[in-house]
Amino acid sequence: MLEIKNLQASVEDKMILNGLNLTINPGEVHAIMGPNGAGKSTLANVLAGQDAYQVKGGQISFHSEDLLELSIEERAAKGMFLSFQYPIEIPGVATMTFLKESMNAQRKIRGEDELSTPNFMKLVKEKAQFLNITPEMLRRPLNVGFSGGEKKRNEILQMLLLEPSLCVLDETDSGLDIDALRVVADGVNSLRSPKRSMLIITHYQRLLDYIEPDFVHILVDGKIIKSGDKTLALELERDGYKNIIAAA
Amino acid sequence: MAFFAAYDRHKDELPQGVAEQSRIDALNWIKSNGIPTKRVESYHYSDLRRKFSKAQNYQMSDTQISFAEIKSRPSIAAFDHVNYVPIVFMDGKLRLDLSDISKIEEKISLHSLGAMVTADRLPECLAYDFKSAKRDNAVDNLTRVMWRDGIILRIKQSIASDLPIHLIFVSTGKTDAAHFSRHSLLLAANSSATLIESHINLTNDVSFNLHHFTSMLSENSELTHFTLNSENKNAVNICRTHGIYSDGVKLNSISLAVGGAWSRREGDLICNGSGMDLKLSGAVLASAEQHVDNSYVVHHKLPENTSFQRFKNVVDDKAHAIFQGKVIVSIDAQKTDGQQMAQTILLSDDAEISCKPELEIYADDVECAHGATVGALDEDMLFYLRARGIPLKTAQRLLIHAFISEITDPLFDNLKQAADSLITKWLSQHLDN
Repeated sequence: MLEIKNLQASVEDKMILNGLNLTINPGEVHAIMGPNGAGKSTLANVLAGQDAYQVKGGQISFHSEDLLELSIEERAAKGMFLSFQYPIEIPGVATMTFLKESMNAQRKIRGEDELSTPNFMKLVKEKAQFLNITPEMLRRPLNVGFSGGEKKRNEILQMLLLEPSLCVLDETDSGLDIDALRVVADGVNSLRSPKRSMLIITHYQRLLDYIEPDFVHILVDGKIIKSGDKTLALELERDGYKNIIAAA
Repeated sequence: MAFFAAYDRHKDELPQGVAEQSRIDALNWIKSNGIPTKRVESYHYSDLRRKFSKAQNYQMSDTQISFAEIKSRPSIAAFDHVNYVPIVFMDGKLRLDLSDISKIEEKISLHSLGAMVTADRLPECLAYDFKSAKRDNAVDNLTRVMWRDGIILRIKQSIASDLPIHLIFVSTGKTDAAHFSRHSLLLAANSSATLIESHINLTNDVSFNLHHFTSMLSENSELTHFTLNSENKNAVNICRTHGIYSDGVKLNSISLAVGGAWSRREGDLICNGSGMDLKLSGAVLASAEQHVDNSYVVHHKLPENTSFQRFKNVVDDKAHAIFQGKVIVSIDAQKTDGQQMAQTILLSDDAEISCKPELEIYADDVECAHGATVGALDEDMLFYLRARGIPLKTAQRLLIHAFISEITDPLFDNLKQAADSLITKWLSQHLDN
């Protein structure tokens, strides 16, 4: 589904990714862990198409297409979903309006009919309930005045509604207490399927107790220096990055 | 000057009587001060004298037209869901034949200034307008010299907010004419009303309109005033309001500019009382080479009044938006709260915004502040929306609409819907998919 080869990327002329390779097959859940500044968020933003990150070399193929040739919205319509580390607040745009616009925009790009309002409302209500999102929250402007946990739940709500094929979760556990973490993890786990893949970016092993990965990769200085199964995360928690880096 | 020649040519056709002396006084003012150029500070960004070259023809016209035709114009059709009371002022003349005030007949009085002056029946309260008080403003004096007609609207009792009075200013364009008008609005004590004021053209021809409004709001009256400029790309429109406000007045003035070639709304608002709450706000959507100026002076003369000027501009192409806000706080006006805020989104490299807040404070226990922001659309917001599949142009439209709707949100539902549809229309015309 996703194949990254020798990816090099920079921010403001500073090289962050230095030859990253990663292949994700349908149905797989991959976790990327790494110290601050390793390039985790850069990877997430490059995948989503954020202009501030410049790709200097390498290739990314997504569903056998050249991802780097696609606009931000085309990537989304093809199934790329980035759950933001810091979801953006947008005053004046009601959450419901935004959800409807995004669902219908993706359907339009894919050549599907727009959702009728009753069907849309029913769908949102059902998914929102599952995530403890109140109707009052949905009436508010997008992410404005939301707590950290509410913002993250709102990200997962969008994921449930848009049903992407690749979910990239950038530090989704940051700012969440244990209860909120469980709600978010339940949401993510409900989306696991043989056709859908996930890339979970995190600092801590904690999230991986709730969302169990098939593969764990350690990213240091813009490169994956070690890969393994879920036990690698436990090893990392026990030994710390320093020892893993020294051993690698 | 062409203006003096035009006056000489037409003066015998103009209503005289009680107005005669005020026309002469005003003419003398223009003779000694001239029509302001950009060298006059308050017209620095809007050179009035240059615009007078557009005023070629001072003829009146009596265009025959039905109200249905006016109502079908897109900018007026936007108000179809609003149950309004229409008052039509066309080509410089009040058209009672096209107006229908039957729904609120006992609550208001409506007269033509021209007819009243000709018949020497000017109401006492309007005598003010013709006294030779010190008048230092060009638009005031230009309209005093050359006016032919005006609306005298007196609101005697409260009118439900969902039954607004709609003043529709129409230029037929068929005469390529310049029109000068003087209007008076009077709200009785404790009354409330909602007013819509629309400016439209029926053709794409050049039009030139100068309107002067005297707005007298009595004790504890409440006015919601929504103004729409949806004129064509050749229209010059200058509106001045001289406001005289009494104790406890609540004013919520909201303007929306989506049209016109060159427009200026200016005001000189006098707080002659206490306990007032004045909200002056406006949204400007400007493109091509449009020039849209909002310039207001709020004069706090007595204690404990609040005024808030808030304007939002979205400027594209080579358009130029202007906000000049001035708050004067007299020595007796303690506990004044005067705020000004202008926020602008520039959509192109050649788009221009000029903001000039001014504070002139003589009292010592006041709260006054001003602020201005200028920028492009927020890149992070655009990225977030696009990352959810929303195309760039749609994302821009959503963000601009969100930015502007803060101004129109306080309108009641149906009126807000009308404003929204006008904004949506502008956005779809200027940001196509």
